[in-house]
Amino acid sequence: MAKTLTRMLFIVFLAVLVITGCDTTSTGSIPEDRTLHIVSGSENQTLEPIIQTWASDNGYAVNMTYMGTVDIARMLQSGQVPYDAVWPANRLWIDYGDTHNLTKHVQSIMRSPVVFGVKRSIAERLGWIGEDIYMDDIVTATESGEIRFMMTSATQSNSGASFYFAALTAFAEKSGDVITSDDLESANVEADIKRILGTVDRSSGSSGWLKDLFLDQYERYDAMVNYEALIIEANQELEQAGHEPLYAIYPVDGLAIADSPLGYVERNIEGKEDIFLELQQYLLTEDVQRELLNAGRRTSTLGIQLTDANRDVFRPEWGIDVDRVIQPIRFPNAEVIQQALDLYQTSFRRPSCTVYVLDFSGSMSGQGEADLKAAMRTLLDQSIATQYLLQGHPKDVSSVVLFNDTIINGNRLDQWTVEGNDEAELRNLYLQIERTQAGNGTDIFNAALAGLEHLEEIRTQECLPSVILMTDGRDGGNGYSAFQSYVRQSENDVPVFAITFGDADPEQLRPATTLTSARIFDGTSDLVSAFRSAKGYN
Amino acid sequence: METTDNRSSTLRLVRSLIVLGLIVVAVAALAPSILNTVQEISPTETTHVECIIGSEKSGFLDNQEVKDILAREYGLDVSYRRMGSIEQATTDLTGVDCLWPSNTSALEIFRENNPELFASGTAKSEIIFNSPIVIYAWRPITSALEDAGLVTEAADGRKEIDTAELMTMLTSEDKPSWADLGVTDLFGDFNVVTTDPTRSNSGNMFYALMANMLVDGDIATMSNIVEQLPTIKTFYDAQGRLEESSGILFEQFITLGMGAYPAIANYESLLIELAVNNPEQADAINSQIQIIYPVPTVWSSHPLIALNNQGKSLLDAMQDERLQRIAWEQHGFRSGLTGIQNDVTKFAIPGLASEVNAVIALPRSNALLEMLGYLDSN
Repeated sequence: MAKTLTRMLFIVFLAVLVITGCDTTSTGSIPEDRTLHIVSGSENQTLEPIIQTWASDNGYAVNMTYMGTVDIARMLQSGQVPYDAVWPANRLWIDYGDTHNLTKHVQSIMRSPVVFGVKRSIAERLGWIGEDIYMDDIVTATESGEIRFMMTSATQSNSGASFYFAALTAFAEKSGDVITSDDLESANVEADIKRILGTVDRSSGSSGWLKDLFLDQYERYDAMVNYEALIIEANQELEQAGHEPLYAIYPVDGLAIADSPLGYVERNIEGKEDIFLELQQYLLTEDVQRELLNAGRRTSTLGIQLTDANRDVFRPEWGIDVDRVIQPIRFPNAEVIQQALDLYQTSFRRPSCTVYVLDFSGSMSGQGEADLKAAMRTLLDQSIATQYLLQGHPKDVSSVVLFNDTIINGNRLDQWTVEGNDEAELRNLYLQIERTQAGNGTDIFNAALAGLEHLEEIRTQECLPSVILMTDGRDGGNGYSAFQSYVRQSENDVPVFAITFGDADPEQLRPATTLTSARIFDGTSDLVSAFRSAKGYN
Repeated sequence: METTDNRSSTLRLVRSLIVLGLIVVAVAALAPSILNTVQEISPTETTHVECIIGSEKSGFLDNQEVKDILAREYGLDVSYRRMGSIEQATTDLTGVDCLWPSNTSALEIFRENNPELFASGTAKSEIIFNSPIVIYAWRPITSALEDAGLVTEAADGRKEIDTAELMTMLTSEDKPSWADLGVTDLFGDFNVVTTDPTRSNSGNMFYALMANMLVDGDIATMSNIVEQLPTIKTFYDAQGRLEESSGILFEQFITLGMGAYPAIANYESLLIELAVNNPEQADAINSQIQIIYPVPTVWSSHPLIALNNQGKSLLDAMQDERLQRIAWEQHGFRSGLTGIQNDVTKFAIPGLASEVNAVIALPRSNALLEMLGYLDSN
């Protein structure tokens, strides 16, 4: 049952992930039979030039698409993989996802532990420099407000999932043992895991994007869960900008190592396997392995410790410890992994407070309006939402602002707000949307501003807030400057994500998403995946 | 290093080779017994042999020297697909000339299911290679186990561990922690990681060894294994996710290091293959990784089951001393044939046993299947 649902999700899910702003290409005039399509975790994005250079030197093209590793695993589960190769962060997820036996030649290219990177001055203040730090120390610091931190969504990305499973392992009945179904059902474990996840301040759907978000929001946050390699990359940028670097903490009782396996996906396309093997061998040559080492990836062939690391890259003052014996947790079997991911979504994660700002202007009528209604039904009808791992949390708050050239439901927003995940109430909210008809002009930013203001009224202390603007992006109003000054003056930290529909023009929306450190997702071909992408950020 | 063990999806494209008549003449001179077989099928063309094998032998069959000898001397072109050993015993045999599992249980099951093939002389089998199940441990782990008196050094320098004591410790409710054993760098309890016994042969064999030890060092049977199944399953369940392939487990052990995998159980052949293929790393490998021989251990035997004349021609060719030498010197497989000595001085691997004699038989296949079914149940 679960598998069928997951498969359904991903069949519709794929197309958009390709489009949602994360694929890069070097195709040019290279024919398809010399083109390799690779789907990869975003932590590999900075390594792409190595691959593109190899491709152009050899007359090949490589088309890279980035998404969270757990999403790659789900795609494998669906059996529909429109790529020649997968490059997730951890072999675990190939094993978990590849129930159709699609992959082969799977080989680790490099290793990197998942660490907790915290601004050095805070690590100093907490007395963490050079000390053994346990998960409990981290919870205490985040709960007390000493640390405001980011991690990726555990149901989308390996670094978030690794930290989540590491915390579960640390909090299990017998700390350090592989977690079991009983652990997940234990009230003590639930309480502890909610404590730490409750302090996550921002999220994203993949690790590379999280690093970018952290750098972008550097003043507001103190720490992030990410790969040691990405902490190094972030620190290089921070140092250039004259900012304080992050200090890497390797929690003693809860750690995981990414091993970046590159695997071939058999689609029976003549010649692709040979190109893949050529690339894989190239990445494993001594020269490239050294280049990867210099990019902060661990490439020693015997054990994870490094004897010949460049100390200008693996810098001890950043907490980077190449001599340490790194002991990752042991993961549970596939059923327990699935149970843990479901619980993350429906119970353990931090709840979301979301205002959906929906475009009902004349330009949306027809297909745009139909798509928008279908999308909201997917989210608000819990029997459908469950199929797509979009189900609500008991402490979520969801609200809807309808607009055209004015706010259609502006004086009765309380009737358009649902606290919690009661199925009947959410469905009723959908039915109200269903009854609305598109017409008149468009004032997008006036509506976005109304959404932000409304969010301030409904948000709770514990939730992650966001506005999700769903529109075709054809603004006819002049509300942007008011929106901009509100965000700047209130030092508002709420991201305004945009999902585009129909005949969309993302360019009009970009200043708003950039201003609020959010992103635009293309909903024109697949709304569900656009939703999942946006949701990965809250 | 192979990445998948039990995945049977890949059928290699048949490579058609044209062999000169001269080769047949050469074969006639060198191996008259084989010539008859070859001539019966096709006197002037290459004989194609299609096998289903355990993945650990794919490196051997992909070895160019092996291919050359098979083609030049025996007129054979072998292609294969990979499959788990037990699965091989019950798979569809259409178009298949031979099976080459990694344990004798698979042979036993196959024989029981197909008695007529052997009675009529159509099928024939012989153990071609052997490799003992050993423990690999990082040097600080070995030292700690030696200090604790669990690992001892034999006269020829090999390290040994008393299997009964090891299994008792692993399945005990109060296992020692790493810290108890003096390994202060590691968190948690002493453990030996295996592949998933329900999906991979090396794990399967370690669990078979465990079953034997738990029935007091006897050979586990249907009647006496039952009582031990809950103990074995408790150990299995506590392992969480296990790798599905011996090659992957070994690769992970090597690349992720002592923190991730302090000690594993796997084939002896894998370390030899690694050392041979990475001569520049031999010193580092030898100084950091130690082979420990369980006393007793079990053989992972590689019986080649020929299903027809093509299969038999490969079975005959595998008697060739040159092939047996390549199997040992490049892939670490000890010969399963009588009269062939494996020279350990070819390798600079400290503690590599010249002979492995402390070996216990596997449980009967019905007892083994009973155990695997029990582990797989909820």
